[in-house]
Amino acid sequence: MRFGENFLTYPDLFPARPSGETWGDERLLIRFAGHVYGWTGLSATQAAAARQRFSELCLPPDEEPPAAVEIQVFRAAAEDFFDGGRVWSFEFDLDYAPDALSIAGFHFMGRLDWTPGLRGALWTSEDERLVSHSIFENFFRAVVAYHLFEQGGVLLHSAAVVNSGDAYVFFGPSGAGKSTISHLSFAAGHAVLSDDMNALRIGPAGVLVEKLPFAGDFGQQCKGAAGAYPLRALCRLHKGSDPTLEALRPAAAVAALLGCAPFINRNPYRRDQLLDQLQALNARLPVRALTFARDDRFWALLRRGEAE
Amino acid sequence: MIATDMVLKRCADTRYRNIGGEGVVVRQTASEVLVLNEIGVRLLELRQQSAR
Repeated sequence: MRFGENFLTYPDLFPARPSGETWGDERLLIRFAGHVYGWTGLSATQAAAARQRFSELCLPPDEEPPAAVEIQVFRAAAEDFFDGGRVWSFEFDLDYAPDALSIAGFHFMGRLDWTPGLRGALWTSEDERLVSHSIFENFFRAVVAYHLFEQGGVLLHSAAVVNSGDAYVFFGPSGAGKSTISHLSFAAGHAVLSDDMNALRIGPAGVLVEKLPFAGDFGQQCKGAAGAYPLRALCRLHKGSDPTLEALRPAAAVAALLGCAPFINRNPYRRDQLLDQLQALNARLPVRALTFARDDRFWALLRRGEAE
Repeated sequence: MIATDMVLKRCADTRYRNIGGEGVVVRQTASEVLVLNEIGVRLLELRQQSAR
């Protein structure tokens, strides 16, 4: 199937460059994980909805620090999009080039361009539903994934829990237990950064885990912890009846991480660099396989594992 | 089952990396990641040598 055919009426007319008629003059600056993302071209309705969604992360209008990534929002006609009977969709079509990424999704088209810095452009027919239909957030996730990647980090499909000032990251595909372990950890009195997406950054002092405003159902309710925490354990999750913690061989560890690095892991032009970064991450803090049951015994196992 | 007269060839859409003596193979079109043990790595590297 050709790129865009799932979502676009005229896939061949996908924008070749970031241009068009904006929705309005609203500008929104959103800061997290040490960087500012600048959105321009929003309508008043779109900006109000985004401000409500990202509330405390939005900078006041009188602050204008330079944005690390600029994202422009353009108007598109409703007839440009093909519904196919859907009322919503989480899936995307992706198309890769060495210096660009094209995204087609439900009622939107998006581009990331490296010129040479990363910039984003979003075309949508949605005004009131830009945020409620997750168009804004889904595109934002892709922008953040690439921005973080360019700085040597990785966006990991994972749950991150803070215990005694350190972060424990549990990753795996859907169904591996990220939400379950988040609930168990929260019930045991630990803060949950996110049960869905977390930023891992390799620095001179070690690996830091940073909270991102992207979470699953559990994480949206848990706004307690914020900021960056040193990574203490990195675990590939498995559900089971008894808790076990085992070392993973480096190739299996890198393969498991690769499977949980969304947006980048399918990009043929970024895959070698992604493998480099994941190898470096595993060299810093080797991934272990954690099998856990629906109780908090795994915490004792993790503490014992640290002592070994 | 691999037959004795079968000629093994690496798919054009794969990327391969040797990590610690084992292999990570990424199949781009299938969005699939495979881990090879030492024997799999040896087979793949022999195949690469013979293709040169």
